[in-house]
Amino acid sequence: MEIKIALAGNPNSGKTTLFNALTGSNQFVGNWPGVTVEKKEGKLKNHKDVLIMDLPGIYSLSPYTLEEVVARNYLISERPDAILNIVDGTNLERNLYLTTQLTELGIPVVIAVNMMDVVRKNGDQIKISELSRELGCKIVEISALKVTGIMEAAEAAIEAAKSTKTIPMHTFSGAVEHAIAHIEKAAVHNMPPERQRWYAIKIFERDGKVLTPLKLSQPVRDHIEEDIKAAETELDDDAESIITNERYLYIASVIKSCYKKKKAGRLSASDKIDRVVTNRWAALPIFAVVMFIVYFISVSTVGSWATDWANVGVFGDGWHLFGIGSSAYSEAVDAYTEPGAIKGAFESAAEEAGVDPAKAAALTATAYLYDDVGNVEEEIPVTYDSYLAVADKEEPDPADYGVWVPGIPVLLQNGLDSIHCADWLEGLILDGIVAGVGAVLGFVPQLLVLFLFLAFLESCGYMSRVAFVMDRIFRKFGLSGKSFIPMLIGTGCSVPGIMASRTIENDRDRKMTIMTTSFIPCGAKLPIIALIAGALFGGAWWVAPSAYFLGICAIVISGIMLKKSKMFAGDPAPFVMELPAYHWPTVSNLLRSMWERASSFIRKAGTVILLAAILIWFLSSFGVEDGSFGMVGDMENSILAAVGSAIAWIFIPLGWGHWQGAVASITGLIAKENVVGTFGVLFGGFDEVAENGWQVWNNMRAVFTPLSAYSFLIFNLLCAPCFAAMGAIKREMNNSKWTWFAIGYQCVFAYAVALTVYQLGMLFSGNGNVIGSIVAFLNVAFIVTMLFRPYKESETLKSNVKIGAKSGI
Amino acid sequence: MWLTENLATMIICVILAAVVTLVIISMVGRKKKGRSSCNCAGCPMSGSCHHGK
Repeated sequence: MEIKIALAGNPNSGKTTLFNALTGSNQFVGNWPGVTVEKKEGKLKNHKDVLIMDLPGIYSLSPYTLEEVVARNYLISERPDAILNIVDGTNLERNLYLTTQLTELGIPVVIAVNMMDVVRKNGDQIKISELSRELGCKIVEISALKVTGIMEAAEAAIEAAKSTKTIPMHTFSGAVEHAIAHIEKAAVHNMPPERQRWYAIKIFERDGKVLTPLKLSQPVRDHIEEDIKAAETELDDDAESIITNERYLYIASVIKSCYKKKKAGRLSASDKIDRVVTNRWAALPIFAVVMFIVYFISVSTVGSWATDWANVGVFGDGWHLFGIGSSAYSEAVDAYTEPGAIKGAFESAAEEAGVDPAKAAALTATAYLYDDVGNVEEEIPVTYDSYLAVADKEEPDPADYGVWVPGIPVLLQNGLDSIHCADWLEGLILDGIVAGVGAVLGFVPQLLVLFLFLAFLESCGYMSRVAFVMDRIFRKFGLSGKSFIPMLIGTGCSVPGIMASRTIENDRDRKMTIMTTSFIPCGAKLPIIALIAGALFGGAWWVAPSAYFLGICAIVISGIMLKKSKMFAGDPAPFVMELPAYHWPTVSNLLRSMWERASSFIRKAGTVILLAAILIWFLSSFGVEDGSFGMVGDMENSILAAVGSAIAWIFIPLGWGHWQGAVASITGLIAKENVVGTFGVLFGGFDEVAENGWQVWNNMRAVFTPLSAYSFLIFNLLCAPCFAAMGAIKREMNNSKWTWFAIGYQCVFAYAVALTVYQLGMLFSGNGNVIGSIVAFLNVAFIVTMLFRPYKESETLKSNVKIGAKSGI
Repeated sequence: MWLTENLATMIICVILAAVVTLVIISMVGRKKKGRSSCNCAGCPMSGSCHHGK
């Protein structure tokens, strides 16, 4: 017979960590409350007949939020064979509140006191045997993170499921017990005896969600109400408060005898850290510095080195194994730069003039030396004599230095050449698939570094502080700190980020969060940021962090503007969140979280991006040339160029009114990585050797200026997200008008910001366009007006949360 | 003669077509199972993402 064990406990008490350890699952674990929203099930390791159910964290069995409804419904309706109640040992008093309710359900309960390692480290003491006797159920000490005691806890729960019934040990005051006894007799006497007490208490509390399905007759309800009112009069409080109060009194008495805190009244390490990182003035600068460091290291340093290796080495010409020979090769390349430029310039000039360079004594030319970002650094006049001086010099071959490993395109090209593959197919494989997919995969190292940092910040507990800090700012424009959680998840992928907004009860908050979550750069947008930063800004330190802060600013500005529209105006929403204690995350958890996010990126490269790369190669290689349809020699004659040119005019005010930029933005709607994949196909190609970094970079510099590239980056970061995310918006909005409004707003906002930045940039660099500048100033004026327009915030707080004593009836 | 000269091209075309077909089948399969292009397995909302379908 199958045994069902439910893991129940407070939010962030370690249920999912325990679930993963017990079942070998790979569920997402985060050090902030509310990570688990849906219940998840898995089989206990080495016990095929034991099913473990991971429930969302709950503070009580009086549900106010979606998570609490999910957990209570399961416990009440499906009734597991046993409950393994995870109790955070560092927060015993609050965690036992739920325990007192669980023991009333009539289901065997085993308590697993988690984080015992931290309790001991703090020098605190929990008398487990005494606590067990007081609560009437078996207690096991565990550390889910360090995987100690967990199997004993599971075995105890199996044993309890087979043999025992938990009987609640605590009793309420006489008046309450009297009323409960009456209710049991009048309303729930037909139920199995072990369930009667919990139902009777809930009826006493006037819990509407329990009362409604019971369908009690009016005389019975009137009779019960008399008993409840009698207790309320005697104890001078409302029924729900009486129960809550008496539970805490009971817990306090239990704690007094079972728990000894060594540093009572003194600040813990977490408290001390929080005094700094959540400080009113220092919190935001600290957050800005942290995120700056994360994006800077991910994109400009460690990630950049690895990505350069992937792009130029693995998906380029090749690389020197362990760097053996690379310094000697670099020296040789440096030494050849000037002679090579002189030789190339003279031979090109001779070819143009139609003469043999070896005999063109009267010919002169100009050689150019470029810097790292492709700007001309030096012009060298070339004469016949200077050419002859370098004519016999050969370009250094990297394979002649150290241990040279050829890149994938080189290997493939050699293989395809050797089997005499048709040129068009070689083009499809090398210039289409390898260039497109390779351009995207080349950014995996940067993503891995970014995801590792984000996983660390989430797991250690810092990100939940950020939600708390952001609440102060978000509330000023109508969003609560709870909206930061979807945005946090959205740094991996916007789809789950948008989905996570479902936990926000306030409809206005939820809609605004859905609309703005995709402004935060998701993993798929990172390659666009890194590509633009590398190609047009020489890997400048500020580009990647600026993209992240641009996302935050877009959310803030949108929030303020939308808040002042009739659709979003309303009362401020309350936000209550528990700040978990800081802890060092385990390496396995960090790697798992990093891999979860990165694997979806890699899978997409092998599916969506692969198909898109083939399609883009076809559309960019075929077209009408010289009056007939076929493969084109010049990409400007391709189908893609024709389609792109038809819409490119839209982006002229943004500074990138060329078909390549237009096409990349459109293909980015399939998946944002496609922007880079498209550039890989359009600007890649392996027919020439890159002189300055990656080939795509060089070709991009021909059609983008740094300013137009930044405008392109802004537009693609803020405009409508990919189709998958749009689908998520549609599902969450559940209304086509709202969906189109959200997508329309994102596109218009992205266009306006990109236009403003480009036109003002042009104006300040002395190349301004009159109409463009006027439009840009109008945009700025509109946004500033909206930002500073007075808004009268409601001073009253209306909430749908059921707190009144009479709300259940 | 033509066949011998183009055998390699034809074989690679067949392999490529098979890969593309497999990719499309896998994408359609994932779509039918209600999974998005993003990997939702690790997401807190993975269970409720596609309830609307």
